[in-house]
Amino acid sequence: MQNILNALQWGSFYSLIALGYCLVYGVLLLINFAHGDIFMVGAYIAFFLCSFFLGKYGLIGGLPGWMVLALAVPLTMLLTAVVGVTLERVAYRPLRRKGVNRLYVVITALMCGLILENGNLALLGASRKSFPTLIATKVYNVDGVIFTNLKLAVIGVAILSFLLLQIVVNRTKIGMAMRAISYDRFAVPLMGIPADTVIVFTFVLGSAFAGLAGLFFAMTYPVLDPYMGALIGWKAFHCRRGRRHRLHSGRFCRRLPPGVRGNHGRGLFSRPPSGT
Amino acid sequence: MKRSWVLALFLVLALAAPARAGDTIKLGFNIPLTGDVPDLGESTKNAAEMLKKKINDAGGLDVGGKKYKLEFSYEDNESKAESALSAARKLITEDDVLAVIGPQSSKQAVPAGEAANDLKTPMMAPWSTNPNTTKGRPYVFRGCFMDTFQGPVAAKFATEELKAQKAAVLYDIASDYPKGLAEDFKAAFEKLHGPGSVVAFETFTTKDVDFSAQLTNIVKSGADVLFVPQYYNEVPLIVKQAKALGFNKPLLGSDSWGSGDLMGLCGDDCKGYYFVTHYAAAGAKGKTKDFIDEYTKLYKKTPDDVAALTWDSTNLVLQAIQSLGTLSGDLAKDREALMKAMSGVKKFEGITGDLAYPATGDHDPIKCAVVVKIDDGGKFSFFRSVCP
Repeated sequence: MQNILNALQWGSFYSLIALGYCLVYGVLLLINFAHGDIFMVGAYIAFFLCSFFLGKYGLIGGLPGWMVLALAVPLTMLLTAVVGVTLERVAYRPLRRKGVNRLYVVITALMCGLILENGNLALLGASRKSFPTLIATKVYNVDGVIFTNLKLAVIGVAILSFLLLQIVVNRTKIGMAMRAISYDRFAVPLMGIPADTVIVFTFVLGSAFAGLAGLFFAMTYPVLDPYMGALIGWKAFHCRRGRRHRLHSGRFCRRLPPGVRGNHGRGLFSRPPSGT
Repeated sequence: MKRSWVLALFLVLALAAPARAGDTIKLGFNIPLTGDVPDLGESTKNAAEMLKKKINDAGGLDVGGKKYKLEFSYEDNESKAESALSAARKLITEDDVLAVIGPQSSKQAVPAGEAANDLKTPMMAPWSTNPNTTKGRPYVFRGCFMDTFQGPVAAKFATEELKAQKAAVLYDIASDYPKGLAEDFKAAFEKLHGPGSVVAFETFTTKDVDFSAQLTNIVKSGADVLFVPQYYNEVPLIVKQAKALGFNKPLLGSDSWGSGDLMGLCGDDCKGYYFVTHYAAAGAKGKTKDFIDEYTKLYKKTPDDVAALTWDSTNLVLQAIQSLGTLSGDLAKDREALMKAMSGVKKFEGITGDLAYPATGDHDPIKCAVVVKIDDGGKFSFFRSVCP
């Protein structure tokens, strides 16, 4: 039971990140290798926002922890989404306009990831950053199973995000447009649907969830470094592929139907046990 | 005509190089300026720069009546074993250094030591405690005690002070230092309490951030103490997660705790724990205090054990160079002479204690260990000293 709970928490991060992979892949058939690093940037943005609101930079008076968190969630999502959209605008859109092979876009994505990682290294130095404590950790013990308020929050946030995404993709107009693009990218513009807007929206959604994951990841594991995104990004990517490759079959799995693209988009988010 | 110009240019360059090497002494530093433990590299560089400035301001290093300016080159090993190897090769073969200082962590020092030994260049590992660093390598020296000493010290401390009957260990199996030390601790603890008294021996791999599965086992095992031979970037995560899983027994650390920004990352959670280390900055006296004061003034922070050991180790190398009497300018000859001079060091008075190399065998100094307590103010205060 304890292990399941631990795995659920760890798996929540993977699935939040995998959501972004999934959305972008579903719509663009592009494996966005920079996604793990967008997650890292999200964690750093969260770090600076929280330090700012806590009054560490002296510009404003310190706010209480819960208020900081309430402010940090939307702002982190927003700013991370801006980063994601910038990448799309600067790196992917010109390539898409040229109609180049998808392989080049994938390589560009890898490069973008490296730029984000090493740009951070150059800008902020190699030293670790310590994420401030926003909400005092409370330890609960129910029948020998030990958990914290943070752990429950992480799992809760992950489940809420899935539900939200489910609604966006299946019940809204733009969700329908996303699904349409993944079916036929060439016919959709002919129908008068602005493909670029939809793609930007996809990046906004994916990056925002990466930012959210970054914020909660930083709260749970409060030591930040520029390469934190690379490894977890790869693992989340494997989770995304889990459905086809059965990499983690038999492990604790969870099936979520964002339904972005019939087959691939029906992401099965497998959850490797913690510690892998 | 053209060819002769090129030839002349080469001649000038060839003549210029040794002429420059004539009045400077070049030492190389193989240190982690980026990667997992960048604070170690920074501490090393700070201590080295401070020493270089001190000597160069006084006119240079006096070797047999001739003054030599010091020149230090710093090579980043990214806290990786393979990069440490190439950094050592580059310093030795391209930068033509007389001796190499570092790497600090055993994970990098073990492979780099092999390169230095093969290329017949003295290498000084100030902070590497794994026995394999110097084992059977006449050109490799160490500036600190070994894990075969540190492990038993930690086991004895856990038994006597923390009254532990059962111990748990959590360590990184992919890194030489934690792996070696964890095994030494286990052997020593089981010698005191009988086989099976280390009730949990859990592992993870470098860059892991979630230890909840391992810690769940440790909590279940009913251990009285948890020994964590990890670096400053991992300890805060382990401590916080252990507390979140309801582990309220003491944690015991190793010398890797004391370096870097442990308290900045860990905050209040690490207070009250003990670890074994090389020296305690709080309450130091004599020239140790002079060093600490000067370093604190220059860099606005207390020097960690890495800085202190680097200071000692570099001083030892320089003292050995001075004892040569003269430098021939032939790098291979000088390197060999320096190796012999360093192995002959019978007594070196350093700021981390006196140091002597045994007359035969590997170059492992006999030094005392210090047990330090992290007090309520977050300072590392001296608790007790253990000598072999």
